[in-house]
Amino acid sequence: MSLPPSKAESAAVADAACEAPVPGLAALSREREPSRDLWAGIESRIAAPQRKAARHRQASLWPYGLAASVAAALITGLLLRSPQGVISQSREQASINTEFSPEPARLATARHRPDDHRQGQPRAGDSAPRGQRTLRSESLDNAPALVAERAGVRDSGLMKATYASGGHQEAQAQQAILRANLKLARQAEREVRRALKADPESQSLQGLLASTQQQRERLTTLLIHDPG
Amino acid sequence: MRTLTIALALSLTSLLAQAAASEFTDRRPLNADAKLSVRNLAGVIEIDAWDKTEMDLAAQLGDSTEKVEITGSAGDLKVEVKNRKSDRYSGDGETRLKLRVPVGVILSLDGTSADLVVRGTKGAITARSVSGDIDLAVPAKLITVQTVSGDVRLETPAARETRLNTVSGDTQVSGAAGLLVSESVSGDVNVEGGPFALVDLKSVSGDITMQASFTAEARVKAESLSGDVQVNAPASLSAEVTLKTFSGERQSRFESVREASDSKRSVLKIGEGRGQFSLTSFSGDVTLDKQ
Repeated sequence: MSLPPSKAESAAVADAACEAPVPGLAALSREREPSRDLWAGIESRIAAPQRKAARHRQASLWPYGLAASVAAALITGLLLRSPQGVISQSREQASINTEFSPEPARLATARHRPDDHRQGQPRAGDSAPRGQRTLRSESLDNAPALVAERAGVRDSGLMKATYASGGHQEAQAQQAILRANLKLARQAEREVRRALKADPESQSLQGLLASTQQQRERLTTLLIHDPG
Repeated sequence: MRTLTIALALSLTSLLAQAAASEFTDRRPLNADAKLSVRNLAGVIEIDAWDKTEMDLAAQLGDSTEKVEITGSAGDLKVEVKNRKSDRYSGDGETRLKLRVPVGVILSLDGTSADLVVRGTKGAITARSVSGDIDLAVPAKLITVQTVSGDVRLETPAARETRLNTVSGDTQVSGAAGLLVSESVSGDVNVEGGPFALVDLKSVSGDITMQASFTAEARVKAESLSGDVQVNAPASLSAEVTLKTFSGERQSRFESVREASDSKRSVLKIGEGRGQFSLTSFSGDVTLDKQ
């Protein structure tokens, strides 16, 4: 009965095999040059730890810089303290930096597509100047009721909210938004009328025309040109 | 150095005191089925439902805000942000209102340029804004939303009657059912949900997309002048469908029993043809797709 070889015996056999001469090794050339210059790589490896050390020394200044930044941010934040919107903070932030324009790009160019639909133009609707918002004008206080009376439309809470409080500067901005949308609605109405000439029997177009007219009337009611 | 430190400390104390003064809180009884009207010109109105018969209000006031006025009773309450009357004023007018209200409260919200956010309430909601966005994630049955340029996002799994109106704002509806009416001039309308019994969607230049289920005798109308109209319906759809476009393309992926077609319209009878669908665009494409 034979026993299996121990681990030590197996290792000895393996060592003996490794120490045996490799056939043909002696015949190989010993003067062979590397195919490329290896020094550049070696040099960069040698230099790398030095650069790391330099970075490390520079990084040691970070805590001071960070502390100074936090202090500055806290003071600035307190000075400029303002509530942020919860739906799209980034968009609002972007809009704060947008200069006021009498006709906001979002409304006048991006959203309106009666003409450009077939041309595949991009819709840049996300750059609305939402930071430009309503404030108050005392002269506009009674305007909603007057306009509603003229338009024969019941005064809505929205109108009161729009004009009953706030400042003049932002009231103008709000009016600009309404005006741009009114322009949009008028243009849409013209487009629908034009389409109706081509397809006068279309009930769908007639429905769209009625809808657009209602939108225009609603905007006219909301918008105050001159309450006097 | 000591003088500088003292000056800095005094400045910070002053600023903190000023910050504390620009906040406002209130808590008072509010019936489970009360009417609550909230009005804020600019900033945010954010409302969450809770299980108490109280209203809890925490406000961060804008520089132009004079006060938050609360009037009415536990059955009918009004919260209104009042701003200073100054033509010269041009500072930050945004006020953030955060409210917690009973689940069943009936809400009427006006936010001219304020965003309106409501979560969890079951009572009817009317939300109006000019340029603010409206975001409702509520199990309410009746929903009415009106904006001029603000976008609308609804997640309303219990809605049975939804009425939307925008001029240039986009509309995204998810989970509604029953009746849905939406009108827009240039905003896109995107709807998911159902089963819908009555649908009327209009957008002059916006695209209309609908992925929904429908009741057996549903009446569905989607119309645009230059936008695309696409409805994705279940394979079991039973309806008479009219696809109409003047210069766009018409396409249906449903097998129809009977078909009539001319240069402008196709009339398809799908299944038993119990419902009535009318999908129309003057220059856009009209598609009835299978889910």
